[in-house]
Amino acid sequence: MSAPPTLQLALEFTLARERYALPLTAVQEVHEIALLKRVPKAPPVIAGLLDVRGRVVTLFELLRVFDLEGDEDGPAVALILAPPDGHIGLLVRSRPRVTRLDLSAAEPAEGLIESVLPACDKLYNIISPRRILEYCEKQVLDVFKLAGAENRPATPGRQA
Amino acid sequence: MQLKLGLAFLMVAATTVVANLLLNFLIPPRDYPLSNIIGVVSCDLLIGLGAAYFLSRYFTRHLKALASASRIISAGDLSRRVDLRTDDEVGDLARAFNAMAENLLNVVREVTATAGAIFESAQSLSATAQEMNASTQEISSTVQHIAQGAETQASMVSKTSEVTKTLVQSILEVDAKAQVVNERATDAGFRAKQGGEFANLAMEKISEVAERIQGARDAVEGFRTRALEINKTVEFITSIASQTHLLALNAAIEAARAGEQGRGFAVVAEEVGKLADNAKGFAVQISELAGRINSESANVLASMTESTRAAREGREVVLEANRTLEDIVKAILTTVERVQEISALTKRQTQGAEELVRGIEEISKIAEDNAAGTQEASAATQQQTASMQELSGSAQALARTSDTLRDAVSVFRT
Repeated sequence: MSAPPTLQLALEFTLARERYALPLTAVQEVHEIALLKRVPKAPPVIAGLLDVRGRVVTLFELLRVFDLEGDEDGPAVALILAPPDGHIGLLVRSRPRVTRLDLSAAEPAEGLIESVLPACDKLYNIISPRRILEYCEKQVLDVFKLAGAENRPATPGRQA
Repeated sequence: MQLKLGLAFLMVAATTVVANLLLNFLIPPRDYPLSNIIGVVSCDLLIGLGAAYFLSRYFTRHLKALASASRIISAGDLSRRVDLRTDDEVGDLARAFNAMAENLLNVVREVTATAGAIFESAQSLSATAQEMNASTQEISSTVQHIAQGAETQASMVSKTSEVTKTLVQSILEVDAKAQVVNERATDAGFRAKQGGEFANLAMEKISEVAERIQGARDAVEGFRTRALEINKTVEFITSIASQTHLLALNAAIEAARAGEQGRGFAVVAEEVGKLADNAKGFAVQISELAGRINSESANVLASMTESTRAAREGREVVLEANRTLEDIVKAILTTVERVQEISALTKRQTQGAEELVRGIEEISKIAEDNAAGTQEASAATQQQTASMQELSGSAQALARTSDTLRDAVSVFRT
């Protein structure tokens, strides 16, 4: 007789008609976005900046992160990550809901998806905020490095 | 002449008496022998014969002259005359003979002249008869043509009579049909009037329906406005439900972060989230219902607008139909008048046609009489032609006769 499944609370949402989920403990709060501050010359993965009670939160657009199409007309909802990544939020285009998942049954995956969980005739992509943050930081740094190389004056002394 | 013959016979008788007396004297009668008697008688005969001879010589000399003149005249010489200057009967005979020859000469001259005139007249008559014969033959041919034409005319008149009778029958049928048309047109006029009244009634009903549709349209418009207001309210409820959902979500997150202490709070947050979802679901349903009501109201409004327009058009159509019916009534009344006029005309036509039939029948009789008369005229003309031919033959015969007469008279030299 096998042990009963260990259900964990997770935040479920859809991206491009695919189901995604992340552990509820990885999220600090959820905000419906009314006004978003765009960042000039930012990479596409950065949706903008959000003011959360006086605190600036950088939002990453998950559609751009996963390079997906669609859902851009849906409601814009920010998933503010729990500390120590509280200044980061993930922008999704659907209303999330709380669900219980047996994350122990998830199968590991590579890339930005941490694992894949089949449950109730559905397939959940369990995302890893850490991998997403690393990927986005890398994208931002690449853009800023490129911008810095273009803006740096080409003087022989400094170059030496 | 009588006197001379008397004297001659008296001399013969006297000579005979003297001879007998002498003989008696010489010889007594009782002594007479038979031979003496024969001698006496012979002497008497000789004396008589001698007297007769002289007398005949005397008379035959003049008669021979007459006979000779007669032969010359009979040979054709009418100018011959007898020249005897005696006062006796022979002289009278010669004068009478000459007068007769003169008269005969005059007669022959007149006969010759008359025969010439007859010959010329006969020639002229023959020519005239031939001309008349030719003319009569032409007349006969013409009369025959006329007779054929008269027969054809009689036949055509008979056919015309039949056609006219058929025409009369047709006119009677037209009259009967005109009366039927009159009745039907009157009935149609009555029905058209009824149709006009019904059209007026329909127009009033359509106007009433249009007004009712307009009232219903206003009501539906208000209903639609209420549905829009419901929609706004539902949007507000949906917004509250979304916010409640987010609050419940955040509460669940906080409860999860609180661990075991937050388990009961997590359940409450989950129920609140479910309620928010249910409220949102109901709001969506209400919104959909309001949307349907709005859509249906719009459809109803469109239908009502269409119905109002259709009713207005129907009213116009009925109005037009009413005007058309009025025109139809006028046209039918005019038609009735015309049909009545036609009926009256056909009656007059019938009377005229019947008179025409009678006239044609009379004409037919006259034509038949004409044909018969023409045939008779043709026969008479043919008879006249035959008579003219006979006349021509007679004239030619007369000409030949006169020619023969002239030839016969021509033997006389005048």
